[in-house]
Amino acid sequence: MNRVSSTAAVALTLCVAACGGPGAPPPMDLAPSDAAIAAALAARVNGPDLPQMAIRPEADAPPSCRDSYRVEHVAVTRTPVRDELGSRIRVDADFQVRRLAATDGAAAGLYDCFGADANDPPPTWKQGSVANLKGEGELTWRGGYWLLRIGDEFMPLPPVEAGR
Amino acid sequence: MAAVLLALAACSRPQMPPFERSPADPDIAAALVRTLAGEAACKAFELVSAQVWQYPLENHTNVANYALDVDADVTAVRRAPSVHDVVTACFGPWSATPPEWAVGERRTVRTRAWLAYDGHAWSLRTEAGGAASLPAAAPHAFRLGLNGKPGR
Repeated sequence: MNRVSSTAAVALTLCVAACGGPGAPPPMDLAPSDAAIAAALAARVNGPDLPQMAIRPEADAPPSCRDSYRVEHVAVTRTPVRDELGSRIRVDADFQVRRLAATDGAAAGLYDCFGADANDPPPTWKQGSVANLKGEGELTWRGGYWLLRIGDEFMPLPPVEAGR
Repeated sequence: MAAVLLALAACSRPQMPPFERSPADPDIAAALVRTLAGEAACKAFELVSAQVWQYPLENHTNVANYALDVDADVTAVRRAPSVHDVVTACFGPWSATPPEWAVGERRTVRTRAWLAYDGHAWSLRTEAGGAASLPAAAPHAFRLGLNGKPGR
């Protein structure tokens, strides 16, 4: 039994090394809080950018997002997941978004502003009214920081104590 | 044993390159110009500048290809005639080769490059085979896709 355990430990160590990953398991208790994730998601569209998050022009939400929409609130739900892809945290984000643009033609694309998973807004979504949009993604540990993905958008977030 | 199997499964899947640690476009452009300037095929040109676009594409990533694609518009001045196709030799077969490029004339040529990450630094490789090393940048936000550029 001991021989099996030690063999398994060696194999696991070699495998982790071969993967080139951070090696240590994700510090789930140091994952960004719901509030930190919500603030990052809202800031990406509303601005200003969070100071700890370097957003390059090519990755920033287009300026037209800020002219078209204002994120009023983001409700975040985190769910720890452990499967064949490893440990990570599923993130579901419910956006409450006020539409600022008057016409469809003047509004930036939801895809560009809220990610590929943004659902279609109700047809009654008029200028000045609020609609609910959903975003889906995950937090993965990158060894020193967490990487938040919502749709096709990726944002590094510093580790913080859960619930802070 | 279950943990080992889970780890092996994780190892076998394609890994996402750390796109969030990729160098900034101006740093890539400077390294590209330096690298091209050192290649024999590019001696016929005075390389002025480059504008680059990174392509963090998940579908370009697999176990064997752990890289980031780069497009570059390189501005150069032809400073020597040649009987050989130095444009293709310098900028690669993907370059939009101008039919005529007179000595002293300034043109902008599209070329490609690739960035690979070894866990510590990025290495830039050009079409002509030149290479340069770039330090990993601080983690930054990014978006998978073409960064507003049309697909190629």
